Amino acid sequence: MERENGFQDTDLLARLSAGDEDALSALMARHERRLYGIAYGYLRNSEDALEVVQDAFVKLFQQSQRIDTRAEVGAWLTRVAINAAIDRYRQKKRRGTREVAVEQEDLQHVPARHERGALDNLHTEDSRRALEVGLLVLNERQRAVVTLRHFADLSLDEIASTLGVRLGTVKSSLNRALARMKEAMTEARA
Amino acid sequence: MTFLHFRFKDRLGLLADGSLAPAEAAAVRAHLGSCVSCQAEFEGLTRLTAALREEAAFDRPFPISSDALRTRVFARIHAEAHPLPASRSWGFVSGLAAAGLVGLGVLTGVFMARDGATRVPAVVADAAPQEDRADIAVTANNTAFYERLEKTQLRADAVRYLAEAQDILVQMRAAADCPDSPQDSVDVAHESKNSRTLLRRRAALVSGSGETLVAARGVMEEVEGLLQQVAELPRCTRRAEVAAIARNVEQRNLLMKIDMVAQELAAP
Repeated sequence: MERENGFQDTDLLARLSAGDEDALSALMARHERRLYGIAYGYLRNSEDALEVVQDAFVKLFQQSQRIDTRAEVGAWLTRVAINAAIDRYRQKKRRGTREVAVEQEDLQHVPARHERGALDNLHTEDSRRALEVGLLVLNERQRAVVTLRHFADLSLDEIASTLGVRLGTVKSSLNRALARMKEAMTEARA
Repeated sequence: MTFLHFRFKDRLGLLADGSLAPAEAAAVRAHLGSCVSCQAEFEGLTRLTAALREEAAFDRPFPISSDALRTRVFARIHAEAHPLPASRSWGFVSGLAAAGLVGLGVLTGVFMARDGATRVPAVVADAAPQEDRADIAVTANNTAFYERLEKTQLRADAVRYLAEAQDILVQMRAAADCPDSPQDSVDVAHESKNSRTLLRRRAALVSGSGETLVAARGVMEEVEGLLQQVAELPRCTRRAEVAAIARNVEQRNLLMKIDMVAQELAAP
């Protein structure tokens, strides 16, 4: 990936692997917002998403000498970030932390005032909450596939590569995820 | 209902998402023309994917500045490369602080239990999904909970410390005239005493704080240097001496730095 300053990510990775901290700063400037979008898309919590972004860059620095300098840094960071987000989400679910509890409360308080259904008027804040209710019913893999598809704008092939699963698995996960989300949001409205 | 109906129904989500190959998409669309239930399902899925795209396109603000992110990341990198040894020089004070934090944690746990939030298991094996599976050992979730609580408490204490130090450095410039020599001296007994108290608190704060306060270390060291100067001032100090310390504070932009670090520490 080449940017306006002429350096490609691969050049910066090579410099980083030689210990150049400025190269990490440049890579952070390029990728921080994209990674935050992915992490937030999965976790729906800004504090947790920020931690995931930090984890990804710390790991990039620590493992830069082990990464093939021809590798696509953006894809590597995406994989680390989505795995870190899955870990964090899993840990929070196990702990039964407040965020999860709040999300479950939301499930019971989804606004029922839409005339045509929960999926109408989704630009409103209430409907955004309804969307989060839909995300809540997904399992970890389905949530990751939906996140990578919509919040990272990856193709199905790229998602398969990122998650290390077959293309068919991605297709079936995405299809089921969307069906479950739609069903949950409709039920919550009823 | 035919076999083809179920086959096409299983493709509706991908069609709505725009992920089907053109030929397959055309076949599913042809089925939609003759299947009312699939048509209704498809409309709902289309609205859902549109909502997901809209949500993804929402320009969500990054919660901290890029500079603050860089500070945090490099602080962690350097802290993990050179972990701070747990100092024992203030063992009694830090022991008291630790005991207080554990007590706070226990009390919090009691309140959570009363609220029915008793889902924190004693010990749970943790696992990463893929390549980092080996990096993450077995984790005690309640230990992590107390660690998080302790870090939050430490950051809050550091913010208080810095705010009080800032007050001293500001108030010193407006100290009252010294009764013994009102022409050329001011009474800084109050500031000097408070500086000594703060310096003791600072030692307890830093002791065993690990990487939690590493981002604030530079400013805290600058503050410590100036507090030591103030702590050593006699009750009646020459105005020129006080002015020199005030100039030092200004030249370092220390009040602004304190504000920025306090903001950083208070950030979620």
